[in-house]
Amino acid sequence: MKKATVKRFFGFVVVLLPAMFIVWHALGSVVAAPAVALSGAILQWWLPELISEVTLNGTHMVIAAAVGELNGALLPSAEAGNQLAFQLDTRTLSYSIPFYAALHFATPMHSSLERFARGLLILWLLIIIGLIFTSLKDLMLGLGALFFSSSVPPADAIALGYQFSVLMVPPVAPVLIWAFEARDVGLFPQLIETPVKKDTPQPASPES
Amino acid sequence: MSRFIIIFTIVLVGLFTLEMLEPVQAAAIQPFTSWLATISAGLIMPFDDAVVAYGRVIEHTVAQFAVSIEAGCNGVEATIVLIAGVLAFPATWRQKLAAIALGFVAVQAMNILRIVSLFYLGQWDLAIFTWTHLYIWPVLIMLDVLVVFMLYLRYLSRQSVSPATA
Repeated sequence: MKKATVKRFFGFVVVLLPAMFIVWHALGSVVAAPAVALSGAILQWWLPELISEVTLNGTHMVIAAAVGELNGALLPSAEAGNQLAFQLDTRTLSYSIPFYAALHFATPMHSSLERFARGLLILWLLIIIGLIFTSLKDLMLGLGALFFSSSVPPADAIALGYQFSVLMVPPVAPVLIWAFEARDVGLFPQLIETPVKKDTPQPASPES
Repeated sequence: MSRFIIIFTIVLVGLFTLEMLEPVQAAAIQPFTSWLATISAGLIMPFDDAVVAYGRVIEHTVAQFAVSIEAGCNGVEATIVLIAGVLAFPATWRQKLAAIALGFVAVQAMNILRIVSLFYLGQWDLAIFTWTHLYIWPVLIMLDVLVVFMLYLRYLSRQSVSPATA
């Protein structure tokens, strides 16, 4: 196994990134399906009075509400004669997967596939959390007071959770997971060993 | 490594929450974002006189296309990640502040490139604009942060052995 160097690593990442994005795009709904299935099940169990069905349409998660709209009023869908639906783009969260794949496969390491699978599992869990927060945000904005009649978190918590899940988690989580999985590769040994502080007097190394 | 992860997470979540507060948005983030739009337009204008900027919007008056720079597009989140990484790693305050300042410049340089590229991609093809905007550029900006952070670690590593080799 070749020794990892920073230059070689970034070179591989730049080469692998387009390939991973092409694979991710081609896989389409396959990438989103497990996360949508689980987040949909959680949402339906949590808010059965608000959500009647969660489905996957391509790469979009579709939440069919249990209510519809009639003359500006929200009513049970049977009374309203229609059903409100909310559509989420799962790719705004799942682009973390090709990013993680590029970082991972650009780094030579033992048990590479096993570590990749572990990282992928964590990313899917984070995508599920992101889908739940995005769904809550859409339902909150779409249903207003009716939404808060259910047992849901405060509006500020939903807003913050949504922003963090969309803006921070997809680009940052792949880097953190990769850094953890590649901790023994030697790209950044300083993160494992205690570094020497410059302002602390140090004895000269006999090897130097 | 656990110490790094704990400090990194606390600083990351803390600064992100601070950034999202309405008074911080009004006093710092939105004026900074407007300034970023002005800088981006100022860089384009010598090459394209049909470009104008107002507030957080850059508009092409001939192509009838405009972009508005919103939260998540101003490089602030990427800078927060860099700050969290630098603060979580043991070094002198001088080294940390220098890394944050240089890293901020590197992130914003990349971000201006993102804004300019998206401005022209949007005029060319809206589907490609959306794809690049939502999926590709966030990854490239984070890679930029990672490059800066790894160069910082390498610098610290060399600094720590330099007294003995001098």
